[in-house]
Amino acid sequence: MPKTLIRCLLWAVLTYVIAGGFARPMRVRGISMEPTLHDGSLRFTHMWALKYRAPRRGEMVAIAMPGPRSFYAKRIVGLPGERIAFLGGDLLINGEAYPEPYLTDKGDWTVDPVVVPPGEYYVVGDNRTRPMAEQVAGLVEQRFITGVIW
Amino acid sequence: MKVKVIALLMLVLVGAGIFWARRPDDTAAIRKQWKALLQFVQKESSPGLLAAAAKAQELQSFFTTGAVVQIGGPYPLSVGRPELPALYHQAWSYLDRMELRSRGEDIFVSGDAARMEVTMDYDLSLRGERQSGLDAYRLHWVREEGTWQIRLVERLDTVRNPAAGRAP
Repeated sequence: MPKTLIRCLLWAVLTYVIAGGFARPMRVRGISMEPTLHDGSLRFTHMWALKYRAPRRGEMVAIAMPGPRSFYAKRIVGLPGERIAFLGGDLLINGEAYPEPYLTDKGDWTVDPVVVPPGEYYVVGDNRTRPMAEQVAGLVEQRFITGVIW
Repeated sequence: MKVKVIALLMLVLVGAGIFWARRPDDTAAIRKQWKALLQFVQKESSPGLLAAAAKAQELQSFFTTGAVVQIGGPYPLSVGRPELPALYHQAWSYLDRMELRSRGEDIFVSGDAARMEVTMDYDLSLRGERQSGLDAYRLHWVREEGTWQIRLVERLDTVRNPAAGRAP
């Protein structure tokens, strides 16, 4: 009986560590991150990755929405202090064009420069076919960025 | 005998825990009212015009007299309670199907006022074309004469779009 109980406890802890933190399963909903993340696909999020370091440019991140079960999935393109703009679909960081190899269609966004405030990041989706004004994209406080999608 | 006593004690503790978790309180009352509103606005079939009009009028009962609903960018829309029935009736007439689901709420109560942040999952169908998505809103509730009603609905901009509001 004690051995079985110990085994059960170990499995419970392992499940919590993996599914609750290291590789939390998530179902993708929507097309804002196409073609990188497909609508309906299953991905995993490392919910502890950002506990001891800051988000990095190019990372796909989970951004908290109200309630425990929903997150925005976006990509970080701008870091605190940087001046971010779009010109004819090209990402400009501090006035310089920055390549985005993960895109298949960079679209034609033209967005005025915005300086990313301290403690915030500039996030966008990989699907640039719709105008940026119609998307969930822009500045987000670091405290809402809860994990890295892989 | 000892095992039976422990098992009975655990049963009592679990029962007490379930009772405590499900006890009626303001948060539960607001959640119940919210679920009733979501259920109310669903459209899966087409009722008669009179029934639809009556439904549109009844929608007001979920909102305070001076309530304002702000749907948010990129085409900001702000409507007061008197305009809600007409707006709802319009949506009801155009759409084949309308489904709204709440994917999680955070509720903060302070006396007779409360703030609820909610993730909404919507699924609309118009002439065979389907549109769905997720959005987050903040609802301000007040308790008037014992009933929780919505005073303000505003979009929750966790991600602030610098290009929003500039759409043609």
